[in-house]
Amino acid sequence: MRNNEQRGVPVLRVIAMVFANLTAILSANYIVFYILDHFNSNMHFVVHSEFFLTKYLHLFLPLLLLLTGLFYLLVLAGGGFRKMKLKKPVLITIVIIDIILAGAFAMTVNARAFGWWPFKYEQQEQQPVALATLVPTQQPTEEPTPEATETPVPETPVPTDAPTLAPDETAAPETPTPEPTEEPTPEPTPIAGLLGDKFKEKFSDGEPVVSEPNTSETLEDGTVRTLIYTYAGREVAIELYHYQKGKLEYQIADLYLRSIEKLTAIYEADQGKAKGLVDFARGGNALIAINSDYFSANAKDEGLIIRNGMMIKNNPCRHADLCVIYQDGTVRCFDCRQDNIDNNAILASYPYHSFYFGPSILDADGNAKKKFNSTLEQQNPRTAFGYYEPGHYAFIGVRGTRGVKDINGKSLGNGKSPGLSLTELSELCAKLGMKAAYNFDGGGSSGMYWNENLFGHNSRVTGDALIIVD
Amino acid sequence: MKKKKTLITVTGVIAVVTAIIYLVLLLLFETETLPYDQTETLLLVPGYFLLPLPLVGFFASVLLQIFSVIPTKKRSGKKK
Repeated sequence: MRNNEQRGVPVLRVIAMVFANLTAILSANYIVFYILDHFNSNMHFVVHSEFFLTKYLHLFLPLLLLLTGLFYLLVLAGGGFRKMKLKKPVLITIVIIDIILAGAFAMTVNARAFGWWPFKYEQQEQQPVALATLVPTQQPTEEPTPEATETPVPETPVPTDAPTLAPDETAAPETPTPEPTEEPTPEPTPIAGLLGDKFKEKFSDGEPVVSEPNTSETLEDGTVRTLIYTYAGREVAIELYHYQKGKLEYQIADLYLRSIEKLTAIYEADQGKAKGLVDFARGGNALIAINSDYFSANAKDEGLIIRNGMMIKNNPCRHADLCVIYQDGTVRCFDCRQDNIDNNAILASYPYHSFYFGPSILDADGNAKKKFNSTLEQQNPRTAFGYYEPGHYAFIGVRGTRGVKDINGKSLGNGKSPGLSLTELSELCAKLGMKAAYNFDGGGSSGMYWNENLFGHNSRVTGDALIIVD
Repeated sequence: MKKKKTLITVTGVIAVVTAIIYLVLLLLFETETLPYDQTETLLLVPGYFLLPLPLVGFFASVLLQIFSVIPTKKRSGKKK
């Protein structure tokens, strides 16, 4: 009897201890990471880690805990612990293995998030490629830098099958030539711009005029609309409205741009260098900014990613919705499940930005949709981009149920706004008369920055932002 | 011996129950029976919900190991 116990039970006991050790290691790492994250907001990195173990940590951890508990109870039922007596060398070995495992796991989970990871284990990044431009550009930039606001010089000849703009829309060269930027125009030439003479009254001929009118009006449906910020420059005009209906709060910035270059993207192609929206906005001297698609995390193996006329990723588009902002100021959204996306055709049609997240909020005719290419329909903090006509766009920020922070990250208490569902957002965009609208990264990523203010949560780091500069 | 058995039983049951609760919640979040934050698709559950699991996991697993190696009282009269 005694021999049977000694032979039979230790196997279960060893298994139980292995599970217990793994659970302890994973949990300890998680706790450390959680504490660090409290100060650094880098939780995103665990989630998007390429490692199988960390990616599905939230499944593994309860499973391991379950197995640990079960095996210990099983061993107990067999009366196994009565004979438990580990020799010193065995104990030391177990402790050493635990330390090595904990260290290795700590590296995989935490190191990259905080920049300690010495190895590159992600897929090979594609080198950004400058695309052909329609409009004469300013000084060329060799690399896409987050602060860069200038359109790069094309390194590739203009495709022959590319569409051409109407002569009055831009100051484009008469015929596309392989060297369109041989003679850059340093002097600020008057640009008839994307809007032509439209909305002339919103711009300023002299110095930019900034104001915070805080004038409110009540709309028909009871929504209180407050004009909280305006900017009138030579090529950029912004009107930022805050809307409140009951507990629901959202902000819409009406953007009037005479040049598409004023709609600039700031990004970090390396996910490990992601920042908060405020950092991006301040770094780019943004008048106003929103988070965008966080492509470094959300479009790793799929999607056509173009920023500021630079092609960053050229992968097949199969599942998400693609949004393209063209150099002529037009915007078009594609459903990659239905539309057979030809990346080369898009690349040849003078794109300036493209985003791979979505979903697209309006149909092709600008009508509200009921069904979306997303399963995340519920009310949520949201960020979206709207398009009325070339040169007239909108940034949309919706405050959600999460806590709201001020510019310094200090909590201002729990926001009561429920957020908007995709259907509600779609109806709102259609009601405002937008022709196209596209949903960006929401939830904890959602935020709108202007004039040293932050609307929304944006507790997470994000890889990119869409900003307006002048 | 009885005390040790009780401690292991209680800790083990807490571990199992916590794990089951989390697995059920994961299932509910994943099937969208319960709503969760939009961008945490891979995370499966909202951030604030996560901490109790590793806390219980850590303490339960450590305690189970400690309890299991506590030497039991030598029986009186037992000789080597």
